[in-house]
Amino acid sequence: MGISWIDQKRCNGCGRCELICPQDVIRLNVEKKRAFIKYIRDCQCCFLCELECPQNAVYVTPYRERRAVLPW
Amino acid sequence: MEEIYSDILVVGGGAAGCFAAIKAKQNGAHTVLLVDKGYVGKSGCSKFAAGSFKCFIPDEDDFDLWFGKAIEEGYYINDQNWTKIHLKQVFDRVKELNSWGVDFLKDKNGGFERLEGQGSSEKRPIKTIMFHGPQLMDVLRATAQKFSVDIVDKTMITHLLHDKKNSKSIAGALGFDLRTGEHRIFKAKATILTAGPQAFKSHYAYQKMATGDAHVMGLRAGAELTNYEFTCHHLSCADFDTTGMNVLQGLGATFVNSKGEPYMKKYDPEYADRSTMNRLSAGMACEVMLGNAPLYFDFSHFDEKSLAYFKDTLPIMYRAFERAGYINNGTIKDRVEWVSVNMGNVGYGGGLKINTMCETSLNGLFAAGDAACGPASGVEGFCAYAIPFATTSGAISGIAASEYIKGSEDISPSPQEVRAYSQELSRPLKTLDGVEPDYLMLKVQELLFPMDIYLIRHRERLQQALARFCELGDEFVPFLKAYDPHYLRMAIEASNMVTCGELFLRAAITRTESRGSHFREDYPGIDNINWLKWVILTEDHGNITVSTEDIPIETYPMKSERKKYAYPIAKAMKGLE
Ligand SMILES: Cc1cc2nc3c(=O)[nH]c(=O)nc-3n(C[C@H](O)[C@H](O)[C@H](O)COP(=O)(O)OP(=O)(O)OC[C@H]3O[C@@H](n4cnc5c(N)ncnc54)[C@H](O)[C@@H]3O)c2cc1C
Repeated sequence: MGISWIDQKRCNGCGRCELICPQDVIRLNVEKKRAFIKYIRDCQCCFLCELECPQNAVYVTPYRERRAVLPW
Repeated sequence: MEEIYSDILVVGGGAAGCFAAIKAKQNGAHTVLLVDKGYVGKSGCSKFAAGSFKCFIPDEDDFDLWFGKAIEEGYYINDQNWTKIHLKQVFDRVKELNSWGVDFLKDKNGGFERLEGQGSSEKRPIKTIMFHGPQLMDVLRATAQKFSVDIVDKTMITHLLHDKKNSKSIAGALGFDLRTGEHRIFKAKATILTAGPQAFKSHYAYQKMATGDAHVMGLRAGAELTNYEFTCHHLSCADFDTTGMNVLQGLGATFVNSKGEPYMKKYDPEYADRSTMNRLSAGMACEVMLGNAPLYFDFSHFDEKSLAYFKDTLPIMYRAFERAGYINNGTIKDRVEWVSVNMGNVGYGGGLKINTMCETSLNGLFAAGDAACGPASGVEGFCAYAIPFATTSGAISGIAASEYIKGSEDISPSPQEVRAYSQELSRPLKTLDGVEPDYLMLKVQELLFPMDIYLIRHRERLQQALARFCELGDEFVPFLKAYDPHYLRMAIEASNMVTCGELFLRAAITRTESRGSHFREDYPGIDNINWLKWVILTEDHGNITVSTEDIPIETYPMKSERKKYAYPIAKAMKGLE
């Protein structure tokens, strides 16, 4: 599941989450001035976007989007 | 194609890269460019480090104990000159970090608070200090900027470029902008690789960007790699990716099996629940074979104070546990299912072979942090040794590179290479019908993550996996498909995972003994007669070649007797039969 939601009403399009995401998951819709989740599969659930969002618009879950291959 | 010049190019802005760039500037380099595929200060393993920092403090600690333990935990694979330099310099780095604004936990008297953790016992205390994890990298970015380091974010470096007049010298690198896809040439008199480890995007927390990019770039340019058989075996929650176990161990968490029995004393009598990552993983494998899975990590008995400490030192992890429902309104609901993780060479093990000046085998190419081969810590190193090494090696590489450029002549990247690599970079975008990077990532994990591949190794199984890796490399890597620059990054990362998987398997097959995290079921003894050696990997015309180099143990302060020893976990396993 990873990053689950960017609240489009709260987001003010500042671009912070897009800039800092270490996995390059987020993009900015320039026309609407809103951030959106583009590459969900690559999210590593690190919460950085949620912690740094000045608008409290992002919600992250700790559950991976890709299946984990466990050792046993 | 845009060409950007700097005296020194630093590839990767984690703790090692920031230290390298800052020190190069302080030591007189005119222009220093720090390039990152993420955003410096918000990417890399360093950003998510759990805050544990093993620092030898001269006025408080016993040097011989620390040095001896490092060599013991390193199973004599350490470059002991490096271990000494590291221990002697690490407190200076801490004082520096502190003066730049990194918060460390302090005791009542203003000294550094010392915490028990992995590999520390009453008899042999090797205590940790704690920094505020998420803040470290923010401070390092701000400090780099203060010292006028030029930062280029969101740009992935993919190839090193040789000097057009000298095929043994590096004259910069090629990369592309992750948003626009534009290719860029970075020309520099010296290049420092600090792009971190290969973690195979494993189920440990927050290292999915660590895909061995520096290792593969170095390998392809002709540099030597070593220690690739020594993978790091960490542990994580089975349900979601976690970190910070060392802190929770220090606070008294325990490892229990499905019957509720604590089991680590059986496998590690001295440290038991404070055992080190590799022994914990091996102990878990034994419990699995005994039919005692699932296995759990239990900190449900933590009191308010311990929980507050957890929240304070590991705020991101605490939030993840809350979101997953394990912690609710300050109470812990249950123990958590715990599994071992093959996390490649995060923190120690495989990487570019460097000398004590961080020089690789190529002129003008330096490496530090997890891009290097973990020379100070050998095959395991204590947990919490990695950020400290990133700081000391980062600083050394920056100073060495800035000295190197003082005498160096004009350089110019080979135009043939620029053309060829630029074409190679465009290929996944032009491939009409090809393989998505996801497929290769999954295959690499399916081949490397079963416990009978990385925890309990055997020639036959390793050979079978290697044959698969060769097939992936030959048949699928050339047909990787990228839809846009983001997918191009993922395609290169997937390709690097395949190369590094092959490096691991070739090195693991070569070392016909057991040592550290390398346990061979078919060679269960530690063989100090034949194997006080480093396994060296290089590339020759596209093929990986393996050789060995004797460790100059006779010249080191700690010498190991030239005899065979029983491997501790093999002994424990025999007892279980
Ligand atoms: C979750 C977690 C917790 C940890 N906790 C601790 C701890 O408490 N104590 C401890 O000592 N160690 C800890 N470690 C290990 C430690 O974090 C690492 O060993 C250390 O941070 C490595 O630092 P580095 O600078 O070499 O690499 P990194 O910090 O990984 O930095 C590498 C940088 O290079 C960039 N990069 C990668 N490839 C490219 C490319 N092709 N082009 C451009 N840029 C690139 C990345 O974006 C990244 O910013 C932890 C590791 C993880 C993953």
